[in-house]
Amino acid sequence: MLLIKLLLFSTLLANAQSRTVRGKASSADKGTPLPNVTVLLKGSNTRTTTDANGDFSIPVPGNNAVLLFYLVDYTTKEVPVGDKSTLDIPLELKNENLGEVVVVGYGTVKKSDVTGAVVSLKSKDLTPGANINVEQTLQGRASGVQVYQKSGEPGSAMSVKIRGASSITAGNDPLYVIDGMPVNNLSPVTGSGAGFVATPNPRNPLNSLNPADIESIEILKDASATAIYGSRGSNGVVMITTKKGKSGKLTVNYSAYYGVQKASNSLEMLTGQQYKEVLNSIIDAGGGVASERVTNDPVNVDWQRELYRSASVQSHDLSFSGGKDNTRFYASLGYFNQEGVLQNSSVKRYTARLNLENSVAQKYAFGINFNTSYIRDNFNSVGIGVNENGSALYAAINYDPSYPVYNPDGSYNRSPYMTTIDHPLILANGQYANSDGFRTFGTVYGEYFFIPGLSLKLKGAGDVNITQRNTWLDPSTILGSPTGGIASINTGNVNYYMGEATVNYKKDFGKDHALNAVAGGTYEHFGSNSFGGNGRGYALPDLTYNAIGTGNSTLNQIGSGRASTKIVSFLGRVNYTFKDRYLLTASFRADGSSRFGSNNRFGYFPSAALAWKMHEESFLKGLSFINELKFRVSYGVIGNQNIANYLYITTFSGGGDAVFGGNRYTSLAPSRVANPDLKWEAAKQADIGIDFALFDNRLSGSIEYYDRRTSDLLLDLPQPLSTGFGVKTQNIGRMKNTGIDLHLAGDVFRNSHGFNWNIGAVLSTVKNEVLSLGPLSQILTGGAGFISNASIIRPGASLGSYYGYEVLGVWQSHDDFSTAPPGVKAGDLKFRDLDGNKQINADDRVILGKSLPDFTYGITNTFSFKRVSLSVFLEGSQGASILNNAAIDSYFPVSFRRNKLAKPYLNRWTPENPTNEYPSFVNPTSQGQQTVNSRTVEDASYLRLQSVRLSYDFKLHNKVIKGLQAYVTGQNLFTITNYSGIDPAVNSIGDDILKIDYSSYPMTRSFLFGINVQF
Amino acid sequence: MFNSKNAFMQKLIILSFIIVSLLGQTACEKALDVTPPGEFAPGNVLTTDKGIRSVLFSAYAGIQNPTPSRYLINNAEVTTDVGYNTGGAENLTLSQLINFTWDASLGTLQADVWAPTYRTIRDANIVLENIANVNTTDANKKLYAAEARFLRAYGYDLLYKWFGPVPLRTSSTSEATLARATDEQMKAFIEAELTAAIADLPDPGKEEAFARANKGMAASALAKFYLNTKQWQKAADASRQVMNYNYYQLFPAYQNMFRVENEGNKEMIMVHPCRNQDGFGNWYTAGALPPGFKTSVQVPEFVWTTAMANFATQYRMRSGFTNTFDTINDKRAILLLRHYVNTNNVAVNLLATADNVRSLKYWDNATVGNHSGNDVPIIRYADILLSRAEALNELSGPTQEALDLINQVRTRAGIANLSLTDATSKEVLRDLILRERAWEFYSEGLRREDLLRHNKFISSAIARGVTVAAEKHKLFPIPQTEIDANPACKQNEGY
Repeated sequence: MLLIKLLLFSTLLANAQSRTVRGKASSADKGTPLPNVTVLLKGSNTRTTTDANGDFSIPVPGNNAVLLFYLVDYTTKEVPVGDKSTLDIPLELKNENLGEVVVVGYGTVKKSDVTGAVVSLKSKDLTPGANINVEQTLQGRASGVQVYQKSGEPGSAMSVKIRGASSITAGNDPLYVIDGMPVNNLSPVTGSGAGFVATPNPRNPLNSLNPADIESIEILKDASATAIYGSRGSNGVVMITTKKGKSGKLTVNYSAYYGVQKASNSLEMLTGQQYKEVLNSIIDAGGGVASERVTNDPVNVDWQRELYRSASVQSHDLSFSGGKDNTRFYASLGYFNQEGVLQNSSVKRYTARLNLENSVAQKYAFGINFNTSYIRDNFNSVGIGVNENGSALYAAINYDPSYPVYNPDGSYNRSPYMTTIDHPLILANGQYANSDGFRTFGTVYGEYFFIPGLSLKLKGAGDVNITQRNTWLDPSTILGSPTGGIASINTGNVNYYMGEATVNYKKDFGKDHALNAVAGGTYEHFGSNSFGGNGRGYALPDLTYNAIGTGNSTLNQIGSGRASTKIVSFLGRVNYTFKDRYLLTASFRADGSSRFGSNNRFGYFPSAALAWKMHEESFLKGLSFINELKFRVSYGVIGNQNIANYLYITTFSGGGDAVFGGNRYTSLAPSRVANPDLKWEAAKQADIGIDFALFDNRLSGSIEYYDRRTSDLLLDLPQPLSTGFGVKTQNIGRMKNTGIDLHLAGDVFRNSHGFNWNIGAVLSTVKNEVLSLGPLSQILTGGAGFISNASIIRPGASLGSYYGYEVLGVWQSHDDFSTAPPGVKAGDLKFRDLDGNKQINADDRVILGKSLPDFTYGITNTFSFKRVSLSVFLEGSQGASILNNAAIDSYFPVSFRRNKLAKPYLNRWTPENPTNEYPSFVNPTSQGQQTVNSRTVEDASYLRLQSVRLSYDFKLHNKVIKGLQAYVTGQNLFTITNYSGIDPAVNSIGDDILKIDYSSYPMTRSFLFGINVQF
Repeated sequence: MFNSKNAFMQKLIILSFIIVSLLGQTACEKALDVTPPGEFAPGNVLTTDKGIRSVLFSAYAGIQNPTPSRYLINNAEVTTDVGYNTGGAENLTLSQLINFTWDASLGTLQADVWAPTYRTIRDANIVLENIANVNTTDANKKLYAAEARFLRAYGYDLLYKWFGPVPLRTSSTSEATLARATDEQMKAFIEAELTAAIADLPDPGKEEAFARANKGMAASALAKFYLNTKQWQKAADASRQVMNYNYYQLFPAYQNMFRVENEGNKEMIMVHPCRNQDGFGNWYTAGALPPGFKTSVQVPEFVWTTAMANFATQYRMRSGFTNTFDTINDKRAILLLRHYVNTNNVAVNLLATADNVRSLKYWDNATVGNHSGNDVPIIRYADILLSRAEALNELSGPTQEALDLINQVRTRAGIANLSLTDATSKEVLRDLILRERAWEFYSEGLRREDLLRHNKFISSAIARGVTVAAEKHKLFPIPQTEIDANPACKQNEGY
């Protein structure tokens, strides 16, 4: 009510008019008249807008009146009227660099006034050319952000980590915010389909957003920037802002590219001939299985190549933007189609967007951002299963290479020795899944200015993601044959809505003081529903999942799930600037979440930051080579609530069925050990940084150091299994991340005879250390397939530490076997026997490496000469390790006739070749199976030529075409690494932290041709 | 125009305030209370007949443990003179058991034994704590309580056999940190609880469906408990009690006893019930089949089809055991595969390789993938007969009564009776009984406890060349996860 009174009061003031001032607004550089300029009498609500000729007239009270002139993209002008009755107002276009605005949580700030650690990337800064997803645009571009592609599978998620890993079990992904809407990245479909071993790598939740629609991406890294997102800010925040229209004529933009992709690598396995020689000679040496001698005349099948293909990728984006009067719009249509380099995998995406805004500066704004998408995914079997549950690629790596792919009649030919593993092509064609995903999200907002500088903003947002996944296991496969085919359909939806109200206040008090404040509240609801069913026993399997009910109805199974969560929040932030030199930001958020019991339902997240623009000080004014020198420091508390629902409530859920008289009876068992005291994971983060620009802005950059300590970790604390429960989620333990983020940009050559060369580089270091696990001394975790407990979490060590056996070499004939475990022969691997008990067992394990890199870096060189531009982007990672399952399968073969990696077997130990490098493989399990060891955990450091782009700007200026650019791009051109597996960046297990290469979907090398046309 | 816009804006503002004040309403704490839409509230579960029955069935599920039954078999046989294994992923586990190099981190001890058994104990405790408040008949209350007591006591008996005394949880609210009971407490609890359960359980055959608990099941469990703890008189009496129910009998044809169509026959006192379905399958045959198995002369009815799995891992039987069989007469040897024809139609002689005979005890032509439907026996009537014979021999040496019990089993197998001229002393008969038990119960997971009882578990391992076998191996180590999470629970000596 107070506000309404204020409003009425100001209206009264405005009515106390005495005379009229007329004038014309025009563009300062061209002199053309400017329509739609808002003219406002300062300190009142009296306003008008200029007409088509730039003319205006406005009543003013006397000779002390001041008029304000606002127009989008132009610098706001403040003019004292004095006694004049006509005014000519030239308005200047904003200088982009000076006025550049950075999007932060619940508002914007001038780039020069940023006090926190924020990376701001405009669309021109993003990796140019073909970006398949949003995350790819960030790779190697933003310091402190480690982005890597986990797999070459179309549409699979990339790993994005901002400043390391802050949580053990509550997730390490950043919060994404699109046009002010926090994105709920829960997948609508959780099951993979009966019998189908799907990849645990999640689908990319941001697939629904067309990268071409992005105007800017801001990455909020320190607590000062992220604390306004409170309970979801501890892993950093990625703010995505989509494009807006500009007043003026309709602009039509069409951009497209087409490219071909190939698998960038494959594993070198034994050829059929080598396989025969090697396996038979191992049998001759007393190993293997005598009845499995290779007796056939071998052919040489490269099974991986049988699955690979040359695949196309294409993208078309069409956008329209423009505006008239107070209304501006941006609309776009996008089509993206990527085939996978493995058969039967692909993604197709159709997107549409409409951004609409109607506003009068300092008076009101109303707008919507609307995004809708349809995504069609086709999945090959690419999971981490074992034996007959293995993926096509797993089978390809392990399958007998000595028998032909096809029988003479054209049917698939199974090797008689491969009964536990399916024919790779039968798997590729007989086990598949697809999904149709429909996702629509958007925001609607209205903002009203009571007086210039004071506004109320209401925002609503919604997000609905509906997906159906169909899965089929054909009766031709080993898995499908016992039951006559297995069809599954899993559907689900994830829904989200939000209401938000904020009051914004912005005012300069005299010359020296400026204030910018926001306060408000939000309400958010997260819901999910799922349903899944599967059938078996199809007499006629032709219709697969499309006729799921035509199977044996006694074998049908169904299931469902439903959950909801709410968050209520109150937030506020104040930015205060003194003398445009000393900046203070303080923010606060209170979050209440239904994920926590009433004991600890609300969490409070304060932060503060100080910045000092040293270059504004008089003592530095004399140093002309300094353009910018800003020192900043921040501290705050941020949270993480990314855990399962209902952990504080005691309930019962379906247990295992009991069987009586041959029939199944359902049962109920307690769902969990409830923890009513559960609360937020809290991260305290301190940050210091310097931003600088030197030598006429030719060298600029920033360097930051951070120290983030997470406490009250939301840890699934193992319970004594004797309680009948496995884990209890508790707030236990502490962790620390420290590191340096470095960003440098330099113009080596600037416009010397039309030649430009600039370099951009980022370097991010991260050191993770677990400080405490409460009562636990250690947690063993992580695995895939037959591998378990590959990793140890313990105080003093980094998350993602590999834990296993150290290989010293190979036992040689002349060695002293008195210290050897019993049964060991010359040619067997020699492990370090830590406790000297002549047994290689669990007590002999040590930390062998860690999956988190010491540092990652990216370097972009851009050369341009007149119309030609060449951009070369290198990206790398140093100090991380990876567990190589293909090596494990070769060192400890699951069965003798499976194929093996060529290098270790061709160079294996024999009495004639007493190498220390590779064992004889005669008795691989003589000391048990030490699968995680210093031979299978490998260095995953790499340097990659990630992209090279050559573009040409035709500089067309005719009536129809306003601009035309064409380019060619090569991606993932080469990689320097010591890693022997498929690629050092892959990760097959869907884990945030731990990396295991388990028959990973290969990375792709692609060559693209693209054009951009503006009409 | 301005005025009309102002009016519109004023409306908008009023609307905004309404929305904001509504937001304020919803922001109160209560709005954040949620009821899990997909889970059951304890109130309904713990006070209704159907609810408490469902919890009781969850207790059964932990003990029934169908698919892990293969590990319960193998863990108790590859550590002995009977079983052996090579290849495949399961060899990761089994090689440690074969070589006596296991330690507390061995996954099967936790996943297949410790955890499911303690889930049974947890659910049984919930049933017993709440049964008084359940809205059902007194007869049902008595029955459910007796079943829960039986399941809990049997669970502790199982844990005791594998690990020695363990934390004795008799309440669902016991402290997470709990020390192990003493040996005396453990034995007293098992004995008292099984005895108490027998009273209220139905007579054999009167239970609601086969595999629900009855007097025979509890009495047999008690008899086996007495036998393994060498309480001979009590063991003899308890097995006599089982015989006195006059319900159980030997199934006529040994080689058909384990077939799916003969499930629930009167020899089967207690089993791991299995079905050829995901989550309920008996996987033993998939592991026992030799490479490329198709058919055999020994079991011609069993024909492998592509619908059946044949694992990379090889469950094998030791030659030192299979060579002792009278393969001509002893029908029990029929199910020990010595020759087969593979998928290339080549005859393969398994005897050509040492320790390579396979047990086809659980063959099932309706096998779906890994899953065979054959129940795995926990206690058979033959075991009760041989247990009583053993107890009698320990009490008073060879007697005709003891021999008659053994001869019932031998007659069914098709081999000659033992007489007092064979059983010349207590020691001789003891060894004859142990040998008989190996022949009778291979692939049923009894060998480890039999050797332990006869004090041959370690000596026979050393005789096989497992030089590291030591006293500590008589018990398995408590799973490391328990030791880590429950500091009051101390590890067994030597681990």
